Amino acid sequence: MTAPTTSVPRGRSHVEEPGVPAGRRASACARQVRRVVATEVRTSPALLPIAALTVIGCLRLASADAQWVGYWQNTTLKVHTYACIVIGIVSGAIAAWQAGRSRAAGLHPMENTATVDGASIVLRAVAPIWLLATTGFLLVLAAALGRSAVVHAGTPPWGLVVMTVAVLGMQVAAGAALGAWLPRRSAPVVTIVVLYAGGAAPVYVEGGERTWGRLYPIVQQLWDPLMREAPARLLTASAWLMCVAVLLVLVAGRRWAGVRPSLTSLAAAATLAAVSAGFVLVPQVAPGEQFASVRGAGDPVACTNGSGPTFCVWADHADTLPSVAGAASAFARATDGLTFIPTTLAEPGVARALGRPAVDVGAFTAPVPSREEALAALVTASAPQPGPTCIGADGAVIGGSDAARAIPAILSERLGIPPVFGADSAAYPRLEQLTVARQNAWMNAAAEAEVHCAEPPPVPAS
Amino acid sequence: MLARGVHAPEVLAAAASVVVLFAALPVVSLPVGMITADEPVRLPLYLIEPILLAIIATPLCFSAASTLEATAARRARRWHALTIGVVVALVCGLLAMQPNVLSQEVPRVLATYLGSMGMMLLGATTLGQLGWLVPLAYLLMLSVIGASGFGELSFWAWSVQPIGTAAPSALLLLAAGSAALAARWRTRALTG
Repeated sequence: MTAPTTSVPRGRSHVEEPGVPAGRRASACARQVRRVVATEVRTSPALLPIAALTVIGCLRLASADAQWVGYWQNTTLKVHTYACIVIGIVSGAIAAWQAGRSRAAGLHPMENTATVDGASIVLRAVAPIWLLATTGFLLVLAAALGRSAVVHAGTPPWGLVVMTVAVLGMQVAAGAALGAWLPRRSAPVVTIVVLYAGGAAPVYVEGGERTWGRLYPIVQQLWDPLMREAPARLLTASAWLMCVAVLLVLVAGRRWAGVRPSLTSLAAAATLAAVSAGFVLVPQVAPGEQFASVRGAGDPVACTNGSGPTFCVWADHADTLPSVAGAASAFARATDGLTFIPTTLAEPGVARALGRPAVDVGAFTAPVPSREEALAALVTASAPQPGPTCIGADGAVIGGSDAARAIPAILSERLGIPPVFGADSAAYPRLEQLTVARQNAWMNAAAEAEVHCAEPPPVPAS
Repeated sequence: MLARGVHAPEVLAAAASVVVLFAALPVVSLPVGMITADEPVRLPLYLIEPILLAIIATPLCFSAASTLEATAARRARRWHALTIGVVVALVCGLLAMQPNVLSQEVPRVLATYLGSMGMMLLGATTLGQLGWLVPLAYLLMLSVIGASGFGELSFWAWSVQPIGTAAPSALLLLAAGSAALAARWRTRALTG
């Protein structure tokens, strides 16, 4: 007696056999998908290269002396460029190689009689590559944002993150389509050329980036602090990229003649892609503007909002704020207990726009000041000044005593930076000998005296 | 027959097509250090071409009869190595005759090709048929993170260093790649 045979209808997997409860079928199906994905990821030829590129990206972005640190938008843009150009093109090339694996292994005739269609076969080969590429991108992003977060709190432009994941999907799908239809050895090279040239071409064609270049959107500029991401445009572009990715996978699936996806599904995907392309291309972007970002109608003045003195700059210079905010926190800890430290510091001219008093710190020498330069500016701006009434009969300023000049030197010492000025004050060596509490008490009294045009009290003996 | 077995005619045809294509392209330059440099260095397109040619040459390392080569009584591997050498020499000749490369830049183009071949050989011995990934990753990383500050080149960006550094680096890479391939051939067949 032979065992009864069960036949599974075409297009239906074993877990869909009749008689099995729907819940069990679903969980068995999920288990099967998980197992397949885990196996494919573990054995994928993309695992080692993408892991290496991820490690290199993390190390490079974590170690470089960079202007983008602290600026979440630009940090995300840098990682977006790395992901799309390095991880994405390598993933696309590997996908092109993988799409031809069944033909190279002689499994193509067997797959032509499978219970799933060609698109599913392609997806099984290349989806793990997309998964690995996305994981690599997110890890590099986490490393870079972690470095920015140390300097300045913020959130990444989420639309750009979503679009990067979609670009990676499209690159992998493009590789799959080319790999399915071209000879195995030439497919990766053609994929590299297509993906690289497609990303570079809009930069070299006048107006390309804000017109047709949006269809393969690799953002290669930085955004100034007044620019904000355009989430609607970025999400529309993401939808377009995913539609194209689906279309390309279906096109790749047509290579399996016995189980090719139907023309109806191909037409539906093509229609969706065409409609979404329209949504991407219709919004007009003026010359000089970018597709992915818009100019925010924000406050002309930007201020730090962490601990320590509030520091305000013109919004155009808001890129100085992250490093100043970090310095201001350290300054607040070093000046705890001092009553004369100004609560608001500002760039020249900002106080009037703010509508409240602010101590002028002058302009920094670098676009983004170093921590030491920011601390020196804070110390200089905090030095006690004679009050507005301290003008003598001859018009000269009364005050500016030698003893009061020791205050910035003491503050510099507490912050661990070279003395801004005042280290030559006679009071400085004696002040150094005192405890912090006694230093604070004397400095508060000296600053008060300075404001009221009086001589500071003598430095107490240690 | 051996030449056909290691795909030499296809590799030569593809290389000739690439050389013709690049000769027809306008003279443009691509940035080096797009995300790490404040002022990226510019890399002429003709210095990308040799890396692409090395990527194309990957099938040369994989013989259709690799197992037979490994066990052959006659020294088939010598002929395989000679075939690779002849193809490399022919491609060097094609590169040297490029009309849009200045004569003083020819040594750099050749050094870039030989060094990239070395990277490809290293890749082929470690990643098998995906050996082309090594020069590809180098090219992409060069354009994205190859320089910092105002055009300071990264130490590993050997192909864009002054020719006095680039040429020895290229020869070192080629020697390392050849040695790795020879060592691999000694121990087992390179089947990918």
